Amino acid sequence: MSRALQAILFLSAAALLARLAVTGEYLYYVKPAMLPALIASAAVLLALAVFAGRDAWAEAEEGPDCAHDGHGHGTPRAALLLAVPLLTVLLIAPAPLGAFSAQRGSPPPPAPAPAGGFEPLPAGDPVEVTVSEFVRRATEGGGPTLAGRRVVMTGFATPNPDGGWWLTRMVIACCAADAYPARIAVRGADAPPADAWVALTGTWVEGTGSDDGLLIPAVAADGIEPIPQPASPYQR
Amino acid sequence: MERAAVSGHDHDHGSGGGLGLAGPVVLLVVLVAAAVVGSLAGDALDGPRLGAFATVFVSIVVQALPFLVLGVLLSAAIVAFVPRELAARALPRNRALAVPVAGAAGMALPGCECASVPVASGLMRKGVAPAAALTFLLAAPAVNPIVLAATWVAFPGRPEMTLGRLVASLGAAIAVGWLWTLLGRSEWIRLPGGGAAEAEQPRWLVFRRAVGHDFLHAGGYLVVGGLLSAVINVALPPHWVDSLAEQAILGVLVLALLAVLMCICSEADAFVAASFTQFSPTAQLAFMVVGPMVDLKLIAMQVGTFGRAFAVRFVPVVLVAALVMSAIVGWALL
Repeated sequence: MSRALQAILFLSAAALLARLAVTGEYLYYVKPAMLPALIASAAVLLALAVFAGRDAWAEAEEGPDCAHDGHGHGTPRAALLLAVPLLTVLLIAPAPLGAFSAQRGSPPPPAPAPAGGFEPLPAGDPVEVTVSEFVRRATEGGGPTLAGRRVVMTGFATPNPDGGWWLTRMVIACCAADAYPARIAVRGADAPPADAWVALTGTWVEGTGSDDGLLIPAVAADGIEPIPQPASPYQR
Repeated sequence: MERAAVSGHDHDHGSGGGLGLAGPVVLLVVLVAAAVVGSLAGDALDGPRLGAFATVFVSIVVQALPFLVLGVLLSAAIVAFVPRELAARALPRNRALAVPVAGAAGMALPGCECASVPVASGLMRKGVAPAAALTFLLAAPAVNPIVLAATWVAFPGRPEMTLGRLVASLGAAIAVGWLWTLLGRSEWIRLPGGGAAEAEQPRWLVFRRAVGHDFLHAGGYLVVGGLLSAVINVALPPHWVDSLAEQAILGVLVLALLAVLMCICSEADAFVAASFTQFSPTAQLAFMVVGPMVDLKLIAMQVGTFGRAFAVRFVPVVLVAALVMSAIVGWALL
């Protein structure tokens, strides 16, 4: 494999990371904490591309068998695949995992309630909570901290294959390959289109979540409005 | 070109002449065309399944690349800057003893499996016995503090899962290392670069050549693993594993198979293992012990780094060792 080709492969890996870091799209794939590592890796790969490009230049002038050469020939052709991730984000518009994945995944059991029960929700009407926090409080604690409280949550709409729809948020531990959905069944509001992001105001339907074995609590909606997709689409 | 011929595995093409120039030009044209098409059409290709596939695929690559870069930098630093005598002296002379020491040393590499493949290759090039380097390769992604901490968090109130993971992973890694000491042959492993040639070159040149070389060898195969894993993520019917959870032995095998197919970073696999609540703790343990040692992207990277002759022997042995150790530890501890 020629040095010039190697230079382009390094460059395409660097460009992939740089693009995702600059546009903020890296949040569709990995956790926010990865940003410095992505930038550092892009810098290393860019340096490799520059060195390989310089070698290619020297080879072109002196011929391929200049004295200090000895490596690089014998690179497996599979290395060409390093261009594929960049091609993928160029051709398939980057998007966070949405309703398709939220319908398929099955969530792990939520972390158990803290010893001594959950802290009461902060003051506010409605009070802002995350979808995964709502699910955890409803399913693990039996829901006393949610009872009678109006909450506002942001998530995207996922059609329930059995009818109705869920307010969903994907939860990742490390990267999007390990994502699982946190789901809340919405009552009293027409289903937005799949993948549409909304802010939903409502109240927990008492008793739902821990009783049905599916660990999907229900919320009675009293207000719903479309919102733009948040920059950081996944929750912990 | 000689190396390509010797290994019988690298299909090198045109290191000079016309093709050498055509390759880069074609690739560059393809990339530019893709950028143009992509920016004109918005999303040239669409569909929820394709979108999820692309996101999972790119996320595996993006998550792995920094660890791969870290791994090849460490590996190249070992090759270029660590004196041969030091590398040899760091481990006990006794080979049987060197294996467990190398396994324990795995605790010092905080990263996931993508980093350990090039580092093991670097250690071997520096003269560390292959058995010890392979033990390190298997142990490092599973027993380092970051991974154990993640396991602790993923299984709240169940410290035996973390302990079981440590014991079973170290046990399997050491068992494979000892087996390699007895039966392994160095000609199965294809290592790049001759030590003698490298010694004559400036260290800095050796370093950056090794970084580039190792990255290209492992990186392309990482993409292969990511593609396969992403296909499985979106193609398998949901909940297909649920019906198998009840059966003790089948459950262990199913989760081990899933670990091989899903290619999840060892830092995250505990959370996924915890999500398989219908399965026995032993099956969950097997998922966490097998995953960092055998998965599609690792197999692919091992083929790229050590050669096919190595991988066809090493991978099945490791898989069996990981399953047996998971079963023993699961039976004794969980």
